[in-house]
Amino acid sequence: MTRVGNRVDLSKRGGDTLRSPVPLPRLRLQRLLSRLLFLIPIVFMVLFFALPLALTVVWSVFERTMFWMEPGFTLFAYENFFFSARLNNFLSSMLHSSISVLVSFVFGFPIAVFVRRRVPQVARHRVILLFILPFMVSEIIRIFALRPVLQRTGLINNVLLEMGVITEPITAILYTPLGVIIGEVLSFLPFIVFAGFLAMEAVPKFVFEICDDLGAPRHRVFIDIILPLAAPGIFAGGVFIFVNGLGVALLPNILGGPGAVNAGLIATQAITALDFPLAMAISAIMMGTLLGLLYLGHRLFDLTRILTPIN
Amino acid sequence: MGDSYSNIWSYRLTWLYTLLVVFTLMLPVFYVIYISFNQNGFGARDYVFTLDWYGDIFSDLLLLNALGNTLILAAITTVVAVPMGLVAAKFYKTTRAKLFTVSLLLSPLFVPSDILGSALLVFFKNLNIACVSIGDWLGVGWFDDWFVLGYFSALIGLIIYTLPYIFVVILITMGRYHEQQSEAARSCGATAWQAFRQVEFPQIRAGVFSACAFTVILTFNEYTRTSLLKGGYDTVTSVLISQMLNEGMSEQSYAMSSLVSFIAIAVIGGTILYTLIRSEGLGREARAKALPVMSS
Amino acid sequence: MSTMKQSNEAAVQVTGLSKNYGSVQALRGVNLSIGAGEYFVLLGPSGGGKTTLLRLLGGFIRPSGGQILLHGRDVSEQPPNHRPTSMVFQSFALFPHMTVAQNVGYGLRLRKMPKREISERVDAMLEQIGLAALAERMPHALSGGQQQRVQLGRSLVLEADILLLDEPLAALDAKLRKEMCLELKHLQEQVGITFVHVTHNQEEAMTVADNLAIIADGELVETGDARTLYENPIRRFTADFIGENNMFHGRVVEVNGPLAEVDLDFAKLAVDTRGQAAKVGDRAAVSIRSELVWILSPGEEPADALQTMPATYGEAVYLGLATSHVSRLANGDTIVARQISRDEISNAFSAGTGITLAWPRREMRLHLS
Repeated sequence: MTRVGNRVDLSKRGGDTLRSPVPLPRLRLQRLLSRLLFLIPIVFMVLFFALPLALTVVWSVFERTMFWMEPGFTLFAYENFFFSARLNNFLSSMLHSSISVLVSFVFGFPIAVFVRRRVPQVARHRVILLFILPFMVSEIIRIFALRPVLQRTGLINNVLLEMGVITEPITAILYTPLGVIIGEVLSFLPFIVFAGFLAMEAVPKFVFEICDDLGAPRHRVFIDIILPLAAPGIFAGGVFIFVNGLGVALLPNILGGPGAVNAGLIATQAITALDFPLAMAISAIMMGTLLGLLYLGHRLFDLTRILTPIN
Repeated sequence: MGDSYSNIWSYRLTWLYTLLVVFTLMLPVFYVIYISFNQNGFGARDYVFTLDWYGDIFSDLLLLNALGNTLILAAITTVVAVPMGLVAAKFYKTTRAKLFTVSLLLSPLFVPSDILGSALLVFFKNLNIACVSIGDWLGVGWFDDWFVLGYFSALIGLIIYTLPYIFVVILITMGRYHEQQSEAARSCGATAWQAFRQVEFPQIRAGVFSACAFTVILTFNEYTRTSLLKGGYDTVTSVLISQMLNEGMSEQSYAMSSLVSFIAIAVIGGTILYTLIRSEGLGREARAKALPVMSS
Repeated sequence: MSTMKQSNEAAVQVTGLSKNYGSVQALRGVNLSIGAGEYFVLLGPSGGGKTTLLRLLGGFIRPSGGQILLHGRDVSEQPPNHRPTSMVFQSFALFPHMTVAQNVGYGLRLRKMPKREISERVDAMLEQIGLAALAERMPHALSGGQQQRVQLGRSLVLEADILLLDEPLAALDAKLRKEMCLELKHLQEQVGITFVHVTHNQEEAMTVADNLAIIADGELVETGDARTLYENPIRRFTADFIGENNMFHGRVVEVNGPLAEVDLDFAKLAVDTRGQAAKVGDRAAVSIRSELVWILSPGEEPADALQTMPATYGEAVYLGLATSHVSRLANGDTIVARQISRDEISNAFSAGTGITLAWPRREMRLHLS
């Protein structure tokens, strides 16, 4: 430590110890380690997410044994799915899911538009936070809680009876497809708000000003401007709801009647019955459906556009 | 406020509609909470306020045990998944393979819980069998039960489930951070870690903490994946589900559901309150910024 | 420490430096030497690679090829915190969660200097950059110019040997930029360390620079001091980029001692080769600065030292101090004569009139590349 008068000569002290060169091997090691560190999440996801899902295709053609399965090639599991009541159940759950997507869009998307167009920047994220609130309550509680609400002696019927709107309790809600659809909408509606909001973020505000300037009527603005620009977000939100409607077993299990069986429920039932190839075949079919939809959407709307706000 | 020419009443009506939708989404939960305080339970004519049902919960050893398991899982998931999400977000910012990275990290959102759970279940069973047979072949057994269904497999499932949320929350917070600040710190003599710790982290702290809150709540609430992968022990949601399926909605189920909801709402409410206070602070800063600067 | 200026030691010595991003070559085989204590400016159009070069010097990106020596030491592989450099960024680079004083003291804190000494040095630095009164402000409460001063202070307080400035004034308005330019120049003269400054603004570059390098398309085009590059550019690009030059394109048809004759199809010009190896048949350009061109009055006989050229008058563009007279040559190219604004000339010609332009022969420059 050299002192020059009252002051420390920086270039001699801090300067040189701090800025002295690092030996090359150590530098290379550091670089290698940091590169590996940053690859951890990617490797993790490939290993424990992408790989198991890809392997479902392999396992789905394995031979079923008493308690497990053994390597082989058979399409028995697919036959078992496509040539039984399961296919019908699957198709009707697709129909119910599509209805849920439509209903969620009609009720949820206008909120995304409203938030983007008229809520000031600072308050916007709070509105979105409001829609996160339902997710903070466990899925199973939210779904189970619909039973006392929709039941014969439940909240809806009680209120309607009190108000004199009906004279007999409505029994056609719970344990019917309608119950499942209500459950799906209430569970997944926020996702169309989030995805719509993200998509709308990509729409610059001046676009609306130009529309006002040109005196475009509201429905034309919606059809000509908002829909095409927000299409990737709407599609992503729609796919999310559709696929979860097919895959979340809890919904038909708790709210649906005897016929309400979706892919998720078939898969978990197959696991309980120790028919692993069947469960894997259904997983593979679901993944195929999902990838097909995403590919289609990407070809149609360029889904990467949704990510503009986070880039 | 929107543009000043537009009708204030249509603005208010739209707000009302938005709040109504949120209320509808929450209605079943509120109703369950309402019932949980009724001495006579669901469907009774008379409403008598009571806390008795909650008392019952805490005398239930099975449940307390499950609560312990759940808390441990939530804690480990948070400790592992949040740093991973942070690293992933940093990686996303620098990598040129952006589309691949973001698709890989966000796609778990699109895979339904039962499907992912089943696939992971079979994956771990296979890994387990592989480990055992390799162990037999080598004549050693110390890695035989690495992949037996249990804490570890449940943890993997939960990390995959929570990582997309963490990734997005942190990435959005990072959007407001300017990378030059890290470079400036480096050029002041900071190591990469010092630059992150002293300059970047203080500015994305809010995002990281919200991600932690999210992870705890999501883990606490998760049922499907955990129940498929957990092996022999119980979590709060699995106890709750088995109770509900076996006995229907008993009074105690109502109380338990409410309690779980209370915890979640309290945590997220706290986070919202915290961000409100913070944005209030930011507003003050913005006002201070608007004040004229005296000397140049 | 103000005597280092213009010493012979090279602060920066760059050889064969290149940087690729995938298939895009941001920088190609650059060789450059910057003397210790120099104020050096990297000037060029946006996207030309000058910022890439500066960031390579600072260690924020790693070279794809070549070598960087700073004060004779190879730092090509070293990270920024192990280089004798410090960087000032365009904007948004102050730490928003620290006060002005904390920002300036950050590097000293990293060096584990005693608290008292840090505050002494920070105070002295704030005094020097004229921000002593704002020590406890947060960065967002500062104007753009003040923020850039804090950045300067944060870097200078570390007494690094080389200060890198990446478009430090680009975010400021024109008037403030002019003031800050001079301030930067004086500050550099005071502290005497090497400044390497990147800008796309010619006036800024000429105000501060001891020496400049023109960088475009990932290549180093030409180096020299401001006067040389303005008055005597070798490369065509430099003549096009610096100042306002009229450019004629043609072929060398005869080389006669120091003079080369360039055929433009509609005229022939005899131009000094300035030592360039011109061969008959070479494609060549001849440039002349627009302020050296004027319009001969009708009937005026040009002196022998003047080159003349017929043209068709187009229009006058009034720019305040100067007026640009835009005319058209026989081959359709435009030619600009820029003169101090005076009513009599500005209004003397109408569009379509045939005129004769004139300029000193010796001011014409030959460009072979």
